[in-house]
Amino acid sequence: MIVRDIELVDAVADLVDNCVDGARRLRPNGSYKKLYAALEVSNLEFRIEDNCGGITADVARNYAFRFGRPKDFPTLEHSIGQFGIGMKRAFFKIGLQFTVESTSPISHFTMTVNVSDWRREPEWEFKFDELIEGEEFLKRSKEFAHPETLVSITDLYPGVAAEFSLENFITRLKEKLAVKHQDSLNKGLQITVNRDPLKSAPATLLRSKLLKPIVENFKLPGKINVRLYAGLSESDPNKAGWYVFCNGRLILEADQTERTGWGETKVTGETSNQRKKTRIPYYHNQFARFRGYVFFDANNAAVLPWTTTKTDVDLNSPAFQATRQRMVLAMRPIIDFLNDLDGERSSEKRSKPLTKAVTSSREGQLATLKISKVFVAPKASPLTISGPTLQRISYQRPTAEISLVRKTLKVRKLQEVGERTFEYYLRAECTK
Amino acid sequence: MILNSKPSYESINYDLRPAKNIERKMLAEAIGALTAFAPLKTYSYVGFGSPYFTDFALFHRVLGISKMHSIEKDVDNRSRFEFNRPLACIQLHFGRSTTVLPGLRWSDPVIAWLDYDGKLDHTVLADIAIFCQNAVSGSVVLISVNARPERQEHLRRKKLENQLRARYKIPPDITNFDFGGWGTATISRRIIFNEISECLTRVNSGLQAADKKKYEQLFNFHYKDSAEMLTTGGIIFKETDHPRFNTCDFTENYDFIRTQADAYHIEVPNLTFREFHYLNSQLPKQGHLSAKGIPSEDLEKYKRIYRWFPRFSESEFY
Repeated sequence: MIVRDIELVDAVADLVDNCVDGARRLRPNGSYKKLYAALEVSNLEFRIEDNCGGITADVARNYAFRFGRPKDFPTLEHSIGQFGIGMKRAFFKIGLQFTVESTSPISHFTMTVNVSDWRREPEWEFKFDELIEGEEFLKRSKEFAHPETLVSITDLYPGVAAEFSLENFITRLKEKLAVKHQDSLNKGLQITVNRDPLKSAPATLLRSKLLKPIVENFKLPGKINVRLYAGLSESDPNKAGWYVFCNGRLILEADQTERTGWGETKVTGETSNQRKKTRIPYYHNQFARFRGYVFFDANNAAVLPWTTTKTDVDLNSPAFQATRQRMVLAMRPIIDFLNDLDGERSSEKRSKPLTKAVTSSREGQLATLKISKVFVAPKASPLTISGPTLQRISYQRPTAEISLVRKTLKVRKLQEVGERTFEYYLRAECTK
Repeated sequence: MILNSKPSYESINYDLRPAKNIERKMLAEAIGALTAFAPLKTYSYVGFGSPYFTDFALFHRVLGISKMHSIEKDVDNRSRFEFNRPLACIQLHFGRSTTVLPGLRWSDPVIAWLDYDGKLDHTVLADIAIFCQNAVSGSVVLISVNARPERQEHLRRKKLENQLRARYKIPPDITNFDFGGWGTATISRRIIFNEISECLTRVNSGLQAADKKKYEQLFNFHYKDSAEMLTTGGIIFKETDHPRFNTCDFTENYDFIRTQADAYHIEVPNLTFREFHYLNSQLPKQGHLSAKGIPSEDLEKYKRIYRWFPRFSESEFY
């Protein structure tokens, strides 16, 4: 039985992963400017075209169009898609007829497969329609000066064709790709869906002289490079939390669960009075300004802390365990700051240094932030009181009565109703 | 905090909104064509009656529909709704539409007018999903929502995202700027259309080719008695009923039918009794109407809608 059980959006995303892999191999540390992946999705055909380096005939033979991957073949550098599985799986999910045409710096091939015919063959092998490599390729290299890959899938399954003609599907696909590949988009890779370029706002954190986010770089066994950023940004409960990337692909978005350390508890004391003490609280909208980013990068994708489907973090991986510990440590001072900020907002004090530090800071792109092991922020002001002491009064009255008073006072807000009636009483009864 | 607004029936007498009044009569006329699918008496009508039940009274009178269900969310004022029920054939159901709809009888075709007080939100989409799941061939869905642009321009897209609780239902090309004027109505229609299409795709994945359901939009009204309002909707039928749909020939028979994104604007000129009686004596007419003192654009508006123009007059009932 051929695997056709992955979600359609994921199948398409897998094909884009291959383009992103290509971009990473082509420009290991550079910008992806002028590289593109163009998708055309309709109820008749699915096409994806890219100029991210092409697939070599060797890779096609040994990874892309082979069932199972030989152990002795070297790992593909910076791979996020698994050529061995992802590409074929996506093809089989989408339709019954596919064509691949690819020009790499050392080879050119085309391949057409009719899945129904191919299934009937005794040997499940893929054959090249045209293959040019070695000396012949060198001779004709002018013809193949631009590396590119074109995949076309036709004879779509009826269910797939129906999905592809839905605007909601296209929107969901764009959302998914823009979020998953925000890192590559921000590096200049152009991804288009039906000619619309995907956009992604670069990740930022607030910074100023008074406020500095945590920025750390460290290495883990397996030659994994980790970059960790934690700090503040605009208050938005939907965006708050941790973002985890593996080789440029987002695998956790705005995570607010225990997986990334929220609600992390630590047992203190070993006596009978042993108690559980929470180190990091569960997520609450008071922390809507919190943002954390972790980027894992490794040449060997197998050592990265992601699941085999590459869509989630592998909680048991040593690399994630080690990093999670640092994430929890990084959260603590920021949570404290946000608690103090909240306290300051609801206090009656006039001077609000924390609020001022936040409002006077600007968003800075992650790549421009300087290394800082500590979260730099002003301390909450001591309990000094400037100006007259204020107290809050709160009470409830029937709606009809409030409406009447509000109308008479010609004010909109309930707070004004309270203040104006209080002032009136003060003037009429207490200051004569 | 601003005080909550009252339900719309407390501030507006439904009978006295002229654009709505015209829309209701236009809808009734088009629904009359559904005899190609089934005799109208076999249809059920589902609506949100409010205490006025204006649509119920009209559809019973004009179309002869007598299986009628009114869903009322204001459960605290039960007795008032029961007292105001104008026809014995109207069954009242108290509760939210999303809770009530699944329990209704769906074995016969239905005309469901989901006429919401508020804006497009996730509960509207949930009701649409219930309709798409259950409605048999020949059923009609009508959705009315408030489409007044949010006052805070820079938060318009964000607010809609929150109302829908799903980012992917708003196409990425839509910006805050697009919500102005009738933009909110245009966007709401697009989202409703996409929701119906997506729901039917899911439903169809479990059906044989001949039973697969199709949606054809028929209505896209923009009108404004106080706030900007959108009414959109259309018919659901199975592939084998396509000839019946062709028989109805909606587009040819009614000029207010709108099958795409372009809207039919119901615009009501303010005319006196004497004026519209005088104009009626010239109608129907191909060319321009003539009347002293009435602006020519009002004459054009009247010409388009005179057949449905409301005649309100004071009367006392005993």
